[in-house]
Amino acid sequence: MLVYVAMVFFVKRIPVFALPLAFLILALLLSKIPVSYILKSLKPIRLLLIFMFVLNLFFTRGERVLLDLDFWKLTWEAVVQSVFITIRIVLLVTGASMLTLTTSPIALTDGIERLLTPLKVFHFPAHELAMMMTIALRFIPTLIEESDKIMKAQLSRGADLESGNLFARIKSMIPILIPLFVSSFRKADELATAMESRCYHGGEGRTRLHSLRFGREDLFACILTSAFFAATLVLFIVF
Amino acid sequence: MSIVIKNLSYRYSEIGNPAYALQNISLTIEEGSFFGIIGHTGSGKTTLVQHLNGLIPSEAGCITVDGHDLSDKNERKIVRSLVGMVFQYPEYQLFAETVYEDIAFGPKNMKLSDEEIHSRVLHAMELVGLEPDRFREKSPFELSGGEKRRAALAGVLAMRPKYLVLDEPMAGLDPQGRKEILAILERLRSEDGCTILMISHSMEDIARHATQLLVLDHGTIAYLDTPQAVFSHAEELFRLGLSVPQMTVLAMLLRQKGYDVPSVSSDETPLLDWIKRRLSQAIPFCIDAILERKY
Amino acid sequence: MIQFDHVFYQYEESVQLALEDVSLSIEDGSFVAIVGHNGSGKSTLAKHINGLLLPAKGTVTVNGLDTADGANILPIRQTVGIVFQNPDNQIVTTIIEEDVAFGPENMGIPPEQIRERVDSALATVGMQDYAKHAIHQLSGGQKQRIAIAGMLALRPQILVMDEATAMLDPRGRQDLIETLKRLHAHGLTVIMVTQYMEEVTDCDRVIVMNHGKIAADDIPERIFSDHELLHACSLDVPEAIRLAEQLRKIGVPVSEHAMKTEQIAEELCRLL
Repeated sequence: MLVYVAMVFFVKRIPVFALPLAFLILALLLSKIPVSYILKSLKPIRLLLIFMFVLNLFFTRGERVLLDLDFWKLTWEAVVQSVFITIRIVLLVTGASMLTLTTSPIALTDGIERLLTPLKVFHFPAHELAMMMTIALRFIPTLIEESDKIMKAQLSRGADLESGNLFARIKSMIPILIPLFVSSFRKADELATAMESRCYHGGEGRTRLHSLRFGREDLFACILTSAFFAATLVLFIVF
Repeated sequence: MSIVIKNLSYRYSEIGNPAYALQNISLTIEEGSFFGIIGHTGSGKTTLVQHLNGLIPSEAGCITVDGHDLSDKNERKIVRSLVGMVFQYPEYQLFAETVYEDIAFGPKNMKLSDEEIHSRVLHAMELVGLEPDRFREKSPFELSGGEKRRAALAGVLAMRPKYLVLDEPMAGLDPQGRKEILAILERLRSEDGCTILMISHSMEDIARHATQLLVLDHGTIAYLDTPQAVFSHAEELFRLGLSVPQMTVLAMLLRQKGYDVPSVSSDETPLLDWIKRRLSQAIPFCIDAILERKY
Repeated sequence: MIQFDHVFYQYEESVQLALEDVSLSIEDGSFVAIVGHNGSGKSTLAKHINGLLLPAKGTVTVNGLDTADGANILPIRQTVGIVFQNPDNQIVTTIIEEDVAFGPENMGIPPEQIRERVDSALATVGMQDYAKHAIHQLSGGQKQRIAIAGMLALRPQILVMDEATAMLDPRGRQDLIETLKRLHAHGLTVIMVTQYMEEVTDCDRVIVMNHGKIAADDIPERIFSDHELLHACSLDVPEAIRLAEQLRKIGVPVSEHAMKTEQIAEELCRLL
């Protein structure tokens, strides 16, 4: 699962759209995620899409003029570019939401750990990296909450975070940043103690509740992804 | 003068969560009162109090503090100087190099004169029982848990708020530390006429100190009355995930057994007196004899 | 069986001893409270039980294993589970069942067995319906029950609660105490570090810490009747017990064993 989702990202970077689109649709069908879910994930970026589209219409210069107003020419290149950009964003976002819908953050970090494990030969800390990602994911909501609280507390004490020049603003962040750092260190310390208490002693001899198995589907996904990737690459080079 | 809340509602900002954090709250907090707020986790207590100085802008409804409307941006500044806000675990907001500097942060933001700031900081330190000579040059991070809490409280008190809002100010403190904080609050109220609004999980503390008690449940007002009247609904409060002071439970249990017990909120004296009276009626000679022998 | 033998401990940045000549033993199957004001050494004591802190002088043994011996640390930590005060800072992963699995994973237990342990641990604390939920959707009390489940998944014999109720609301606290009582009834040794004296009434032994020393070690009845001791250690007496105490003073024979409000009410009904 992981390999294929990781590949989605990679493929889409290359702006030959037919293939990634087909790939996405196929992946969508295989993952059995309702289309409405995917559409919902596009909803918050509607405005951004429209904005990008219009922006590109205005600012892309080209030769073939379709419409000539005094102050602005609509060119064929601009239209193509706008459509391109829009599709690219849609593909990126859909791909990303597919990733998060099919794969839990834990499975993702586990996958990365597995992929990187061969690098251990070169003393690459694969387990540590994955563990760091897991903890980071876990603590993001907690730390957002914490900084919100600290910010509100300092605002209540009359802190002014919005006015003044750049220097003044940076200075006004100190009463928020220092407590946030202090509290992050405290959290890290307490978490380390708690992890130790639960027999954590590094990656050695660890097993997993959901051990990732490289199954037939994964092999299938791998080959399919590679095929799509290769095809896209070829198309990219040829055109 | 008072804080007046009218038809206040607030929705959680998360998409797809239609639940109300607060729903149609209307109430008045009179100047000089000790206003207690209780409610289970997620009942909207914190959301409510954060509205009181405009930290959360009100979506629907209207709040005025001494006549200043919070929806007006210019008035909000005035309100922030009237309403002091002490957050949960306020010591986590200490940041300056010295205790003095940290306490001076609020007054400095109010653009007061240096002499005024100085006198306010010293006064606040004395109020919370941190001797200025010993503590002013210390780093706030060197203090003990209870001292940190009091330093953070002083940082808010130095702004001389007329209304002091505290979100579980005693959480995590030992009995001694809790008593110290409560004594500071009582002193503020009696000496400076400061209005206290306190969220707490300790029913005993609320029963003993509050003059008015608000019970929140899922963003609505379940009760708003004197603590004594509120705690007489013991069973309902248990159902709301709260508890009542032990004395109230005891009186309730005795009443269930058919005894005519006076209603008690906290403090054992009334119940003790009642038991003594009752015993002396039932077996007057016996109890007199016992009392004589004892004293 | 936990044994402290003349244990001393001092934090680096401190001039005072955090533990001073502490000797005690805790039998299997007991329900012990360790009480004391902030900085009395009660948490330091708790952290010695599973070798998070090692004594500067003296020895701590769990089932005869010395905590100071590095080879013993993992077996000891499997035997002694410890739950801390802040529920947010002891949960490692985002999804609940994955967090409960963290301990067994560290011990290299096969996945099928981990599954079984996770399920039974979650059922024990009554959180089986939340297995796939994310941590931040839970209340404080529920998070603490997850933290307990994370310990139970290691199948410990001893559970140490280091001020684990301090950040909870009344119901959260009540639920947690009920969970502990149930675990104790199933044979777990429970050690509760707390400053809430109401919680102590459920225990069969109370150890009072003061300035790093054991100030008293007795059954709760006798601890509560020793006002001088409690005052000297800045501890409180629950209101109901204070009432009973005052009645006894004027000669009303309220039993000392009645410590909970309900028991005192019964006593009063008997007497009135």
